Amino acid sequence: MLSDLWGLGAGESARLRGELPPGVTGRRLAEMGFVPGVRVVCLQKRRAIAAYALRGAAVALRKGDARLVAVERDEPWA
Amino acid sequence: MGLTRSSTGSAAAGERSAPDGRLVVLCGSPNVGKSTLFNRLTGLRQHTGNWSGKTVGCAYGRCRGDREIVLADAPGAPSLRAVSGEEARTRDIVCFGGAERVCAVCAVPLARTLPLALMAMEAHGCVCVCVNMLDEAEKLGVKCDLEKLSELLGVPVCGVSAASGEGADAVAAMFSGAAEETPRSPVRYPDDIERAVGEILAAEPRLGRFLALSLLRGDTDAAESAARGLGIPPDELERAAAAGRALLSDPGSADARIAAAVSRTALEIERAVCSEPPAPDWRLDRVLTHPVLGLPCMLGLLALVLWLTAAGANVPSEWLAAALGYVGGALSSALAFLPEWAHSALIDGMWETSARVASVMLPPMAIFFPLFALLEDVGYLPRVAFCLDGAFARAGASGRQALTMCMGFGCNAAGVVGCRIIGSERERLAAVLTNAFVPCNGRFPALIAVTSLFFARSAASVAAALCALVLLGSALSLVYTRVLTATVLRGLPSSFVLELPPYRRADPLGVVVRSAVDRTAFVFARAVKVAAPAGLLIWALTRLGVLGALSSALDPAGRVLGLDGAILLSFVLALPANELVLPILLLCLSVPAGTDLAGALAMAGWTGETALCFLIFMLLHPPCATTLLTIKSETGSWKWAALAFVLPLSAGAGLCAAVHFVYEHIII
Repeated sequence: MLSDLWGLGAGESARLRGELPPGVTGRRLAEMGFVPGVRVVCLQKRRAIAAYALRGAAVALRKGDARLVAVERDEPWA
Repeated sequence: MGLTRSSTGSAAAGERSAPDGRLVVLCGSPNVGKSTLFNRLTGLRQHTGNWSGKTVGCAYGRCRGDREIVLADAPGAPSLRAVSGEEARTRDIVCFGGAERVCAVCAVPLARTLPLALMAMEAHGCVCVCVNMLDEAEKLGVKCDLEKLSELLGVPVCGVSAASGEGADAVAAMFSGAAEETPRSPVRYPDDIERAVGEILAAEPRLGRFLALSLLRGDTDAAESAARGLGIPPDELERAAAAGRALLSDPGSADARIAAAVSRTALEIERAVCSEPPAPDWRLDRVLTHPVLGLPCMLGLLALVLWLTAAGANVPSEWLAAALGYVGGALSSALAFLPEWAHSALIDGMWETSARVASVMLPPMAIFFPLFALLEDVGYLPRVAFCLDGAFARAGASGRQALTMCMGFGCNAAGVVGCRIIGSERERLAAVLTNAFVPCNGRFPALIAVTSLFFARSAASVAAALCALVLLGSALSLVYTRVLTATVLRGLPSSFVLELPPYRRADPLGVVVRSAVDRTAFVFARAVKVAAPAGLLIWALTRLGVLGALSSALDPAGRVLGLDGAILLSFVLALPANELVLPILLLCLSVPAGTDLAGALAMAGWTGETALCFLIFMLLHPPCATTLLTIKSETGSWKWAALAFVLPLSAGAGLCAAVHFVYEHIII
């Protein structure tokens, strides 16, 4: 099911799909390891910022930036 | 780095030039242990903290194994595509630093730390890779095939655990070896980008792949550096860039596509070389970053640190005061042969002030700072930024401002220098201008002393009161940030990705001893250099009868603020350093030597109102001279330093006047 990164709740996981947002945001995300195909798990979610695990490391993104990243959620039974 | 003399003030902002020798530049993402490796190889003691942006400026040192080799510890940068000033410094050192060799330091997870190595291979002719923190990788259960990595990259690769020192000799040997030409980096870009790069390099072969790609990305900062560093006229460079860009299928997305290609390659290499990294250990963070529990935990930790400072400083303070009193007495007798005025100048002026700084101010600072350094080392500060991000976002501040405010706790000047980790210039300015709202290490002793005398009996209640003051200062800093970003510093918020590195087991004894010694030595030196002359000046002003006149002149202004002329005068004269305020006040009050603080303030007629206004003004007053000079050199203009002077003063004066008004007209 396609969604954006912010749509993940704590504990849910997904894979990155599609292109990253243009500009500085996209570049920073790519450098942090947000590459199409990589698996992301949401670790913690606050009102406007959330922490994600990818490739064994934890990073935090604000709501506005997370909304720009397209992901495909892992179905619970997959 | 530590908060020592050389890391604050104008010294930190200045560039240091490399000593002679074969230069090897160490570059890498923040938190790969690059500085630990640097310390290990050079035997120097640069302080390392566990969060992004700790190493600011470039450190140089000779390699222990081979004295010919000079190592440069470049600021941490996840990429050579620079966003902040310190990342630009790293890019320039790699591209134009004249280094014989560039060593890209990586660590597990490789996908995040390899991109820099890949870019370095495009930017410099001789690159090697060092995979650090192998011991931590092993603990996590991740295995790395370093030979395969070397094969895939085409450059020498060495593994090391800088913290324990294992493998450091092999790294030094790798640097000593003959400099081999680095093959092309394994990153393959889309066809149109490769063609465009070829076009640019045909026109300007000296640029190299990295700078050619930077031109395609529209990186004007890199273009300027390239023009300067290689001596190419800017319009020639622009022509070559335009020719390249013309071949792109979609110039607007070149930046993102190039970054994506690098990251994809790094990810592929990691998959081939390392076993799957396990998920980060989030157990502790589940509580510390919890939407509900996070903030109380943070406040609890702050209260704990302040309690330990307040409770722990008492006995050493008394002991030091007694010891210095004894020494003072001995000194007084020894110098009895001097004429009265000289004797008084030296003992009542210089010695007395320095001794009060040492005994009253030093013990709390020597306790607070190591505790703070411990929290930094362990890696807790990014979690603070995570919890407070909502408030900072609403104030229009960069999320990294939480980190720089935390640095301000140690020393405001260091906090200002630390603002370099903020990429956006206007957000950096906002952070610089409001840093002084956070009470620095030098202000805590006075806050603790006055609070204990007038408002709180036990160390616990002192800690609570101090927490309240810190919260007040932080809240006001956010309010003022909001005003700044809505008026003078208007603009769009920059995107913000915060790294949450795994908690590091700090070496408590090492941190405590090292920072206590660092801090103690620093304050001692500053006490002698600044307090002694200040004491002499005040002694002279008293003798000349001018002090009384100055004090009376300032009295009307002081009374409006609930203070008095002597207090205001002390704040003015204590501009060089915050820890001077109380010692100078005691000198202005001309109390007999050896009178304790309680007695002196009682003699001066302090009431509860005076104490409250003093606390507020101590929290919210212009930054010290060191900080102001640092602001001037970091921002390049006295205009901003002047604004930084006025902002906290306006808050302090306003609040004090309000409190005084309430006492005058409402409370009998």
